[in-house]
Amino acid sequence: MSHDKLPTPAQQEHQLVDSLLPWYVNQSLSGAICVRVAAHVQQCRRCCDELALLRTIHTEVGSPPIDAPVAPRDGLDQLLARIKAQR
Amino acid sequence: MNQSLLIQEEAEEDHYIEAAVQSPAALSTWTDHENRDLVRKVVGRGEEALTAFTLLYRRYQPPVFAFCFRFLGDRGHAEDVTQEVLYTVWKNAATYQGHAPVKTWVLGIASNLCRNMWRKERRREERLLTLPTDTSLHGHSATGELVLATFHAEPLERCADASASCEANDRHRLLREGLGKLSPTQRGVLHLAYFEGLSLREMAQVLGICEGTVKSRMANARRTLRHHLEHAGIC
Repeated sequence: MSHDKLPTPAQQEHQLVDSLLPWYVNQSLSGAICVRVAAHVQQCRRCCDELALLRTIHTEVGSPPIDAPVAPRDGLDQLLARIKAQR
Repeated sequence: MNQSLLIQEEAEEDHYIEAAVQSPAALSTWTDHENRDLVRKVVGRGEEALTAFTLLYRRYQPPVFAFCFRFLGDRGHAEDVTQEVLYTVWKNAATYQGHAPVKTWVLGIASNLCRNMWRKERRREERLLTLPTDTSLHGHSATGELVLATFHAEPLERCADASASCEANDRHRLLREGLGKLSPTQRGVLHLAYFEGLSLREMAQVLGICEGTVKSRMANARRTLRHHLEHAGIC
């Protein structure tokens, strides 16, 4: 039988907030949970560090890579021809 | 509804569609309600179906291509899958049930087809690796050097070639390298969260998995990136 300690309420809160940080960064959390995450981050060094890293990732991923190709322009004509051929 | 009012609304909508066809930039202002109307018209397969599909294509081709490219890391594969995604939108428009925004539905199709493509390529790569003596199946570089067919995040790794411009920001460069080390599914979740700005629930809908699994994938991606940065002494 396992004798592992159950997480304390504070640890549970930390785990919950940590799992939601990516969506706190992209501002898609609802109002109440957003306030809860913000309150925890203010007093948690680990979450504060993680938030800084996630904001950097957000900036990096939020813009296309410098060498990312643009979407091809001739795809629509090809697809319309394919659709018309099958009608 | 009053018949004349209905006719007037339809005329206004047609006018809006015509204007949008001539000015693709106008598409960016379309709401999900308008996108749903377009899907309905595509389902109808009537005269206006192709016009409606054209608008959907212009609206969704760039984000679908961006997602596919981030997921697959290969331009050719991303183009092929993007075409298949949009063809599926045409073919399966009737299956759209309206529970989620149109964009979520379209990105869900993209996610499925990207995963299929990735698996197919991985199997192909594994088959090639089990055929060590048959060099005819392998490609050759411009210098004639034998190159084993691979499937990797080339555009992200290519950043190393541009080190001169990247040296000014080690963290930025290392982060890009770290992104290249992620699995396609991990890159996919980061893209959906930070390029598309989707919520946890929307991501679960797009990926067809539960919210807990989205969190796990995200946690794995974060762990891999942090490990990479820590290893480089940055984090």
